[in-house]
Formats: sequence, C-alpha cells, structure tokens
Amino acid sequence: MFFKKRKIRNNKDKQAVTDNSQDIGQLFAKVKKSSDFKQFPLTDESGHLIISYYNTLVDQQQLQLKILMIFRETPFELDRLEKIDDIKKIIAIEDIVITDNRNEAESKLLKGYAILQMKENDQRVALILLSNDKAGLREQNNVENEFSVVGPQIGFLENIDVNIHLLRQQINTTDLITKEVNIGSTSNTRVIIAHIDGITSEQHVNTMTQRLQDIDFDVIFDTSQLHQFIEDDSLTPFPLLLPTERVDRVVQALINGQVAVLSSGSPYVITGPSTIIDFFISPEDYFLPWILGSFFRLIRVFSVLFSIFGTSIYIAVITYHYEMIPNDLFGSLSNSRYSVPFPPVLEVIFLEFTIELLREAGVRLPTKVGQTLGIVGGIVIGQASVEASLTSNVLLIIVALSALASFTTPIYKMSNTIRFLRFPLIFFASIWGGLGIVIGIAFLIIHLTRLESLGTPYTVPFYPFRPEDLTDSIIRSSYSKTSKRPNYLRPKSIWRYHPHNHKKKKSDFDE
Amino acid sequence: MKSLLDERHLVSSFYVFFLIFTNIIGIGIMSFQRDITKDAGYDAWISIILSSISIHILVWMIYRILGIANNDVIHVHKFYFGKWIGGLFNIFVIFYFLILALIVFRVYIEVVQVWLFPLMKTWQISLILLVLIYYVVSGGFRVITGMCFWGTIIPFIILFPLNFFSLEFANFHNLLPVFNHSVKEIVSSSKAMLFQYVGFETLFMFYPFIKNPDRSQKWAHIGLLFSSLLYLIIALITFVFFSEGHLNQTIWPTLTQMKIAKFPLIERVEFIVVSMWLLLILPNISVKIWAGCRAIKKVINVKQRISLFIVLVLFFIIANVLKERSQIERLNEMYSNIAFYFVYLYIPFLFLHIHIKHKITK
Repeated sequence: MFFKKRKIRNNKDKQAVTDNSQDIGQLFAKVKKSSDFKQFPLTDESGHLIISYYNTLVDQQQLQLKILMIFRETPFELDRLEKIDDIKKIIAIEDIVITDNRNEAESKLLKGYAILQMKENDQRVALILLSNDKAGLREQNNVENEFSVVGPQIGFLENIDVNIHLLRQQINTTDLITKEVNIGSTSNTRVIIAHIDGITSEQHVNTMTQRLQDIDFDVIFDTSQLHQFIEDDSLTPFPLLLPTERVDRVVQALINGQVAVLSSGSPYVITGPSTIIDFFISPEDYFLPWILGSFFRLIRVFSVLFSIFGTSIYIAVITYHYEMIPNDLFGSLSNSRYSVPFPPVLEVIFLEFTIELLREAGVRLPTKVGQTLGIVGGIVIGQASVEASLTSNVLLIIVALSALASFTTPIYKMSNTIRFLRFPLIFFASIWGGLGIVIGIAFLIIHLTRLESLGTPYTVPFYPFRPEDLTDSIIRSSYSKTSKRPNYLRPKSIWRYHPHNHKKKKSDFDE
Repeated sequence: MKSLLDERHLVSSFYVFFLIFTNIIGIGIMSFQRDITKDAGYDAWISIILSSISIHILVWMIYRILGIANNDVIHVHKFYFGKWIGGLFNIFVIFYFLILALIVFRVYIEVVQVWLFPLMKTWQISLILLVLIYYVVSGGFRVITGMCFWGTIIPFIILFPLNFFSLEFANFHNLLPVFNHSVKEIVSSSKAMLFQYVGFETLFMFYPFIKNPDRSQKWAHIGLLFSSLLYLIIALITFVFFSEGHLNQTIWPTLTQMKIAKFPLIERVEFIVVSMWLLLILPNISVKIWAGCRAIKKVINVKQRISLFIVLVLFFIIANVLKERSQIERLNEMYSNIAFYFVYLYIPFLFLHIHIKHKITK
C-alpha cells in the first residue's frame, strides 16, 4: 500500500513539474473553458497579434480606446512592430509587462490584464493592464457602525486603493510606507501593511509582516479573519487588535506609531499593537473640548463596568447577601420580586437571553422592520414578562441598562466581548455570591494581565504602569499635554508636535 | 550589573513596592490587634513602629547579601555552604515559603466560612481558589507582579476608607495614658507584631527578577514603610474604637470595625470586604508559592509547571485535613516561632558570614 501511495505521489510530482514547463498555449486551453474568456486577432491577418483577456475583468472602454483603436482605425504599419517588446511604444498604457513566464501570465490575467501575442503559440507575451477595479463596489463611504456626531464621517471602502488614497490625503508625507503581501491560496488577496517611517518601531512592522506572511488560508474575505490569524493568543474573548472603519482613527493610530493592515475587499482596517483602553476611545473625544471629552470617556468606562457587573451583583445580593440591602430599599425590592416564582439566576438568564435575542434578531432583520420590531419587542416583552410575574421590575431596569451600556463602547467587537463577559460572572455570582464575583474579577484581571498585543502588554499604561502615557487614556487631556507619543509603542520619535507654552504669569486678580 | 535572566521576564524596580506591600499585608491585618495588645496593651502602637524599624534593617541586610551574590538565596546557599549544608538550607527555604502560603490560604478560607458562607465546604472554596492560584502562578513572574499591582490598588481604594467610618464612635481617651507598659512588655508585643511582617523574605527569591536591583532598594523600603503605616493607622483606629476588654473578645477586629460603614444603597459592607480581600490574598499566596516552586526548580531541577501542580494538590489535601481552628492556630504558632528565628537570627548570620567571606576572598 505504502509503495503504491508513494508511486502516486511521484506521479503527482512529475505532473507538477510538467505543469511548470507548460507553455502559454496550455494556459489558454484551460481558460477557454470559461465563457467570459475572449481571444481574437487584432488585425485581419489570422494567427497574428492575438489578444486574450477575461471579458469580465477588463475595462471595455479602455480596451476599445487604447488598443482596438490603434490597430483597427488607421492603416496600421506592421513594420513598426517587429518584436513584442516594441508594443510599449505603440500602446499608451503605463503598466505593460513583457514576459515569457507562464505563471506570471496566469496570475496577471486573473487580475485584469490582457495578454498580447505576436503570433499564435508565441511564448513571449505582453501583459497589458486593462483592469476594471471599481466595478461592483459601492460608492458611498459614509461611516456606518462607528458613527460620531461631530467630525468627519468618512469611512473606508472595499476598494483598497481608495483606502490608501484616503490615508495619503491626511498623512501627507513620503514617510507613509505601504508594504504589499498577497495572502490566500485561492483568493490571492492584496493585503497592505502601512506604517510611518521614522515613527513606528521596526519591531512592530516586522512582527506584523512576519505573521501575515505565515498565514496559509484559501480565501480572505475580511480583515477580521486576518485579525484572528495574527492575534497573539486566540484563547480569549478580547480583541487584541483594533478593527475600525473610520479613517481618522487609523490616521491617529499611524501617527501614534502603530501599524495598520488593509485588505482588498474589506472596509475594516486593523491597527495594532493596541491596548484595552484604545477600545473605549472614540474619535469624537478629540473633537470636543477636553473636559467634555474626558467626562464622556469616564462615562463610557463606568457604563462598561456596570454592564459587566450589574446583573451579577443583583444575583449575589438577592440570593445570598440580602442583609446588605437597607431597610428602606428592601420594601420596594421585595415588592417587585414578591410574586416571581424563580430563583434570581433563572430570572436574570431569562431576561439576558431575551435581550440577546432582540439584538441578534435586530441585526439580521431589514433595517426598517428591525427598528420597529426591536422597540415593540423590547417594550412589549419586557412589560408583559413583568406582568406575568416572570421577572421583577428592578431586574428589568438593570438588564435593560446594562444592555444599553454595553453599546457605549465605540468598537463593536469590544461590545460583543463585554456582553459575553456577563455570563461567566452571572455563573460565579449564582454559586458563590459576592465572593464569586470577586473570583470572576480576579480571573478577568489575571487574564488581561497575561494578554499581549503584538508583544506589547494589553493593559498598558496601567500595568506596566506608565504615568506619562496616562494623559490620553481614561481621561483625554488638553492638546498641550498630549504632544508626546505613547511610550509603550516604542516610537522612534517621541514628539508629535511642539505646543506653544505661553506661560501665563500668575499675577494678582486685577493686574 | 547584568541580569542573569531574559529581559522579557524582568519587572522594573518600581514594582518592588507592590511586591513587598502585598507580601506583608495578607491575612494578618484583619486580626493582628488582639495579638499585639496581649502584652503591651494600648501602647502596642509603639511596638508596631519598633518592629517596622527592625524589618527595615533586615531588608537592608538582604539587599547587601543579594547584592554581593547578584543571585537569589538558593544560589547563595549553594555557593557559600557547599552542596550538602546549602542544600539543607534550601529545603528549609522551600518549606518556609510554602507553609507560609498554606497558612494564609487556610486562614482566608476560615474567614470566608465564618463571615460569608458558614455552610460552605472547605473543599469547594479551596478548589476554586487553587485553580485561580494556578492561573496566576503559571503566568510567570510578570503576571504575579501584575496581580500584586492590582491587588494593592483596588482593595486599597475600596477598603481602606471603610476603616474611618468607625471613628464616629471613637473614644480617644483609650490611648491614654501613654507609656504605661514596661520595655519588656513592648518588646514581647513587637515579637508578636513581627509575624505580621513575615513574607518580605520572598525578596530573597525574586531579587534576580528586578530590572535594576540596586535601584529597587528604595522601593522596598517605601513599600515596607507604607505597610507599617497601614498597620499603625488601623491599629490606632481599633484602639480608639474598642475598649481593651472588648478587643480581647474580638477575633477579627478590623472586620468588625469596618462593619460600621453604612451607605444609602448598601449596609453590612463586611460581605464586600471579605470578598474583596481575595484580591489581596491572591497575590500574597501566589508570590510565596512561586518562590517555593522556583526554589524547588533550582534545587532539584523539576519543571515549575509540575512542581506547582504537586504543591497545589498538597495544599488542597492539607487545607481539608486542617478542620479545627485550634489546629490552624497551633500551626500558626509553630510557624511564627520558626519565622522569628529565621528572620532575626538567620538573616543577620548570613549577612555576617557572607561579608566576612567576601572580605577574605578579596
């Protein structure tokens, strides 16, 4: 058996070798099976100046204007074209590659190039770029999921060149370097690693490039897939790199010394190395006065804490530590729970499940129906379940608030994480009450401390404690204080800008 | 001075503060008041200061010892006492750290059983806590230090202010008259206080893991100062809150005085206190177990992952075997005697021995 297998493999190897040596003719034989493949001679003479291309990949207008016009309209002097290499002088297209490599011809053909041969069965061919990138992509690039009231509303698109264009508009320097890698054995997707030379630490760029190059996968649909492949640790609910569709966010990240990864066909760009606090920063904070920005950021942090611990504290207190409730509060609490037949855990799980259901259904339903159904469903189900004494009023408030609070995080992936974290805590609280919650907190803290993003600790600037980087973390200090890049990113130059320090002389009131 | 370890595993000298603090403040701070007032009465605050000063001197000695060797105590023993005697000392050190961790672990379980869940079985709570400890220690020294950091900050912010609520019922005359105890009484109360500081010796093990060890001495002393200040403040609050007779009847005075706090939304904060205490206990136990496992690795070359697992299984068994409070107290007493000799006799002896040898070889 083994011997047989080996033989088969040997045969396969041989085939592979012959595959490589195949000529262009065999490539054509293969692609001719597709109905959208076109091949015809440009001149009247058959078997001479043959052009071949995928009808669906090239821009018809360019094909007519730049190629067909030249060869068909004016009487064409064939003596101007002795070798295929001369084609560059005749056709006014910038990207023409002359090659006799069959593999290159195949990959370029699939990217929207046309193949031009002097004679049939010629090995040396010209590859002419006629690709139609924009076909089939949306034109609107409004931000959809990371909306902000103040500030630009420009988001990324599925078109990677447009995305790079958007970045270059704001980072107007030659230092913005884009490195291209092709990933995916079937999709052969263009993936671009962007960083700013002279700012971003080489280490981050190298790690990112290395990890991307190591990926072996068939089709890359989205950067969030890449995200999963290149994460430091996949055994975690936390996103270790930051995905965003906002241009200003990526620009901010690049300016600070992070690396961005763009992928063709994905409107989301991932940036890294990121820290946990990055996920609670909204670009809007920078557009508001710093006092307001900081205030809203604090509200976001507290709402996240509430969202994680709200229901589990309810369970712990109602189940085990009812002595903790003061007398005045106890009346209203026990009134609302008076006729509920379930233990608090079941009550909470029932309501949390309902909320998750509404959210999940709201995402799948068409926009117009979804909103109405969400509101009607939420109110009706909530009210009805209280009246049917399946849940208590107080719990309804807590669950609704914590669901609302989880959506205050600007990054969708993080709000998913937060909603998920509730459930283990509910579990712990239902078994060991307050101690269980603290056990959960301890697990969470240890887990966060163990995490790394591209080799940088996830909880920086708190642990490892870097007081100089705290200026733009939980609070957003004024622009005169945030002139330095965060230290944990190990940027090559530390100053972003030099604020004018008009030192106000502290004088007496009226002088 | 170059470090022996990979830069990745090191922590900066600033964290010595948190390491020392969490190693000292463990379970003792809930109950130390009764032990120290046995002899010195309400003059015991003097003995807190006295024992703190003596520990400062010992920390200075430890830094001298390790500074000369530039390695941990296991290496020192092997190098200066040879393979056999040094090995004996090393085995003692391993047990020293592990038993200390065991005592803290068992007493915390007892506190939980008394204050939170009287019916909770020891094996349940010990199992989940040991899983937690495994998760911390297996993360390596950086993660343990991180836990020390959070375990210092979060409980301090939430729990420390609760102590001051009892000042509403303070009777400051309790402290008077000052100095009405003999020197002997105060010294013997200082000896009782010493056990509250035990744990700082883990410095012997984690010294090579500090980035600039020479510069960290400052932070070690600050951490020590900070923890003795905490002891002092809590002791003073206890003294003005309890009468001496009342304090004699109270096993956990710190918890009792924190119970006084009341808020519009929460009463009976001791539930929060005992739960939150876990965040302080966890790094406290973890550092000691880590130190023990690290010592085992250096002595008999067993992988830390394996030794940690074995140690935790042993913890589980012993914690369940020790059922009575009297058993725990006997273990505690025995241990504090050993700790007394280890700290006050052995460390100065090692200090002198190494200094003399160092001088001779020079």
